[in-house]
Amino acid sequence: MRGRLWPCIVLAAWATVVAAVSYADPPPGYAFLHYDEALKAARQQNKKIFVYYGRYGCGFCEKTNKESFSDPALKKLYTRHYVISYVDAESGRRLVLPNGERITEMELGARLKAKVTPVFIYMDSDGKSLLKVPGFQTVQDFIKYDQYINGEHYKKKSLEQFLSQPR
Amino acid sequence: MKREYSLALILFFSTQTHAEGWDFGEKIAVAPVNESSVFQHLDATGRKSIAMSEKVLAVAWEDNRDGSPQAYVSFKPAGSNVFTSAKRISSGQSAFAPTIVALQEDRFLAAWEQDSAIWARWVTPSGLGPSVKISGSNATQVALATQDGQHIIAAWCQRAGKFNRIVTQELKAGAGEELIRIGKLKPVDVKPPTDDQSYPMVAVTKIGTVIAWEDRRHQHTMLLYSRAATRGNFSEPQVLNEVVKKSDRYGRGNGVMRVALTAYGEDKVAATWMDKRGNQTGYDVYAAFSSDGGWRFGINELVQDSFADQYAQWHPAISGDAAGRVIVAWDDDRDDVSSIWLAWNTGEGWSTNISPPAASGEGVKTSPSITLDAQGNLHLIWLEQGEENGPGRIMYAMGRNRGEPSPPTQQSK
Repeated sequence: MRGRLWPCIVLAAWATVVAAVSYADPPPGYAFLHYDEALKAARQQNKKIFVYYGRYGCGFCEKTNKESFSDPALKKLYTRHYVISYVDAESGRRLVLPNGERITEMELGARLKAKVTPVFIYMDSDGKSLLKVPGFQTVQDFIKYDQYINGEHYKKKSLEQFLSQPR
Repeated sequence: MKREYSLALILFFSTQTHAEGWDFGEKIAVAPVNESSVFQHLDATGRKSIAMSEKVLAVAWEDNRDGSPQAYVSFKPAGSNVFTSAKRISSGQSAFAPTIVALQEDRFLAAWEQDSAIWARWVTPSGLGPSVKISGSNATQVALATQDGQHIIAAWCQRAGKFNRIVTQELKAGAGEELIRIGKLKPVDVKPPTDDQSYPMVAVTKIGTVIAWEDRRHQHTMLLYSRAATRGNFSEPQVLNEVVKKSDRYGRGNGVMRVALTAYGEDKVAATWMDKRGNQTGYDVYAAFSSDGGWRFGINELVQDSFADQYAQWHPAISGDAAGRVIVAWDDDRDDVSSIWLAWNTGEGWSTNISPPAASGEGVKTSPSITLDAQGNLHLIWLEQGEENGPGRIMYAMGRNRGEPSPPTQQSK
């Protein structure tokens, strides 16, 4: 019995390694989609999109992964509320935009005018940007941004106005 | 305030443009199309989408006018103000990132990715040679270079197990339209890849070949380069970019990408790339020089000037000539809208940046590709969009050399 288990364990470990190298550096355990797949899924599910624009080897991405995205409650919240996508800033992987144009993930970064990594972008189901947040964010930051986006406060207030109101 | 700043810059740069080596003419559409659903791209590896032979200029690009992404070429005889109609060079389901190199007798070799393999063919204004598949399966990102206009070094990424690996193949013209492979396909780094290698770029001098590429073996992207004497083996990979690690606790190094190379002067090589060692301002354009044909590169030099400090730079391209000029082009939006910017080596560093009038002003201008001809004239193409994220259209402008002396040859430092 034990002898039969070993190949499964080895296979599972190998699959984990392969999964780890097939993306650049997203936090583990999240079901990130490629950007174009996320756009399709968001339209199908009528959900908003959370885009993690990161870079392979980026320090603040790693800090955010370890200190914020490791939080189980945050993972549950974001998985429930959003279709989540990871974009590798330096990748040549091709995407198909809603208008039919094919560009690379790197080119998407240029078009999003992303200067730093990480950048967290909240989009509606059509891919329209609602909020762009650069740099390291805490769990509490991500929860507030979710309240702002998911509560649709962005329609009436800036993020600054929303964050400054008494709770 | 920003408008006043921009006006001051324009006035400053306009005098600079006139004081420097090139007078730019009007822009010309390379391959006009009217349909808003057609998207043109200039995304050759190393940004080598333009080439100049003795009497003919050639441009290679990808667009979807035929319903799927395919590769095209167009030509402009020297002295003409009109490009020939687009000639499709690819077939199959889709084709991407065509690149082109000028050879003897006004012939060109174009290569591109088609259905996950690399293909090549001779192209001239009067016709196309047969398409030849030059790679195995799962190949992408092809680059070409020649020194003598007869022998061509091609490099591309080919899947090797779990990762992409840079491989190289020498090619030459045979009788008629034949494309002959010299020797075998060989990996640049003999060690099997432990992570992805991508976006190779080639430069060839009389004394050998240098290939640079993006490499992720150290868990962040670095630029490595390797050199081979003519028909020799490639050297152990060396690191081209200076790695800046900002934290002992997090991260593994700053980002770099999209290296481009050019041969210049006598057996010298210059490199440029996008480099994110700066803190909050996106990628910058850096460069390095080798005075020994690519055995050793000097210190990394920041190319853009201080007016662009707060802006991200994208899509750097490079061209050099036998007289020792090296010019770099890129796009940034320091003037509120993306324009094409140029800087060149002065022998004491990098010039103040200029934006040619034809490649600045209204509309988004990105993705330049450049080449210097034998007279030192600069040929520039770029993508122009009427509005952000609108369909790009390829435009061309020529900077006529005003006869300024070429800079003293830069040394490795």
